[in-house]
Amino acid sequence: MTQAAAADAAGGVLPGAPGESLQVEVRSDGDLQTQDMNLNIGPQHPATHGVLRVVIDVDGERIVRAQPVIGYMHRAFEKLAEHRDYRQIIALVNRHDWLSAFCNEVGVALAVERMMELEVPERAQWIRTMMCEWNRIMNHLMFVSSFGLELGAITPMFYAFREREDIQNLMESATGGRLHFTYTRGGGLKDDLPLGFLKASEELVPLVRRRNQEYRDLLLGNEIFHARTKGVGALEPEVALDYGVTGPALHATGVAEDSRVTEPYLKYDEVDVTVPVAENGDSYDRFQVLLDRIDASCDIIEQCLGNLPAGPFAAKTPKQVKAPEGAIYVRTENPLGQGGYYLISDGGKQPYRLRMRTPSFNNVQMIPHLLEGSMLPDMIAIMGSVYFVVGDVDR
Amino acid sequence: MTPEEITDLFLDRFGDRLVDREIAYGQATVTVAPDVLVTAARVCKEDPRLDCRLFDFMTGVDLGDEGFAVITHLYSPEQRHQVHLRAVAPGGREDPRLPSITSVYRGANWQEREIWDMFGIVFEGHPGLAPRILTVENFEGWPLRKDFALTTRLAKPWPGEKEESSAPKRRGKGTATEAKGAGSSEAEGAGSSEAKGAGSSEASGALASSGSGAEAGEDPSDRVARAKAKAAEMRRRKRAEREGAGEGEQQDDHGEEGSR
Repeated sequence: MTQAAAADAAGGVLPGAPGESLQVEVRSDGDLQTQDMNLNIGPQHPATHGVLRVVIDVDGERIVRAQPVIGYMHRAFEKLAEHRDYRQIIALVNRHDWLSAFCNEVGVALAVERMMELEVPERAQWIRTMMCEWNRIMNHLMFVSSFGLELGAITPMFYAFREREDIQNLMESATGGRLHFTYTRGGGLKDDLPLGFLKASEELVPLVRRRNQEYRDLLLGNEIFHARTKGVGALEPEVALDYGVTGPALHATGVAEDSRVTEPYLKYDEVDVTVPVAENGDSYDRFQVLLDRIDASCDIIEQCLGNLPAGPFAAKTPKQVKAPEGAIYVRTENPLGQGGYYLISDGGKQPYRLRMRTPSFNNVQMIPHLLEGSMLPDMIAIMGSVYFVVGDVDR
Repeated sequence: MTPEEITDLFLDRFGDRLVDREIAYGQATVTVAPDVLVTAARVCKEDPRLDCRLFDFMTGVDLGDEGFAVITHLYSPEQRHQVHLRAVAPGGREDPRLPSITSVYRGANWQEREIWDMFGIVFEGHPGLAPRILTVENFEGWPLRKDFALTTRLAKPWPGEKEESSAPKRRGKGTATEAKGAGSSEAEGAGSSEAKGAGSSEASGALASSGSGAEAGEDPSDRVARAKAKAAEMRRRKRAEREGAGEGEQQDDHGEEGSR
């Protein structure tokens, strides 16, 4: 019998395909023996996005206890920030989450500007908004492709890096950096946009949107992908809020908390920001939200391009930036979730204390909640879809 | 709720257990006595008027001789308001202790572990602060305390540092009460003095750090003399380094010849 004939016989499903229901009966009171085992995943494991270690106790293939061990990449950024002036800190905050570098530097600049009551020129604010969104797309493309890779689909990784490369070239043309942009200055930007940047942006947006649809078809249209992610690692909204989970992981549970909407900074109050949400909070939903966020960012970039005014790109600032005495908290919606900067100043040129609230720290803390009770093979789908960068966890 | 309404709510609820309340930059900070900290956190979460369900972050602050404070930031996604819940740990610098709020917010677990790791504040009732979460297991000291020196700065002068860094100033409170009111006029002062050119940064600095007497009261000529002396010292050190490196290179050359 040919394969096609077999498929017809089975009602259109090939034998052995995920659609074919293969039933295995396991008797709970049978002789199936499971053994408790303590297993160490990491610190160097390809599915952990850096040096994160997870110690798990498994009963057979079911995880009964999981404990992430962090700190392998701790670089004491908060201590270093206390010994640097505000311009140097912008270069510093670029580095803890290397995939959201621009969004991070904007956050700390906003904190200083609000304390000094610096008026940032319109043009600078629009450019910052646009750059934040480009950075967001770049970040999401990375996770879209790597999540596929972790589930065994190598293809998206190769494709998604085409657009990542284009966006990286675009941002490099303006900022001079590929990874650590350091484009923001207190009161504005380092430099104006280069010639041809807007035209290149205009051309790139439709391309990203089209390719994003391709990834959607490629991954969400894949039966294996569905089987690996649907209903896996479902997070409840109450638990997510209790742990302080933000970003795509929170939006997937149906809570549309996004500081671009609820507490707009930069020019987000003048553009339409769509916050994609889902219902179930499982790995599939988290991934879908990530894809939707790319489209939403494309919309924002187009609005920025339409609204970009002429004018200066930086305000005139004192030679030495000194925040007045006091404390301020600034929240920004970074690609991986809510970034926060709690800045305490004693009036000096260095902050007295700079607390970096990073999305990954809270998100990773929640992971045991999802892992406990799930199957070992699902661990990859869960950890890959919570979206974290280890540098952002450890700082 | 507006920040004023939030602070009033805490005043009604806690009375004299509310140590301090202040509003800066539109953000309310309420300082409660340590014994009602857990209750206050529970009120934030469960009072329908506050409804702060999103646990954001916690941080420690070094207050100098007074000890340490811990600030918890809570946010309400529905009402879109925020609360900074603050408590000063009793026990001074020797034995700072605070009750743990892990029973209210699960997210507090790692945040409190980090604060213990960084400041040495013990959270009573926490399921397990050890092992140290970010630093290595056998690490000694509390890195984010102000008396913990950054060793790289002791070993090598920082090229970005223009003036000699004075000892870190101790702050009386974690946040300034009058900062908001005074801030606007200071910012203007800083802006206008900048236009005058030379020496403006010092002038604006003196304005901005109102009350930090040491810098403002200093004679500018002293500062210039000190800067010159420092520059000479740096030049001398650089020359010494260059000579040292030159010798090294020569020795290397000899070494290579020898091996041939």
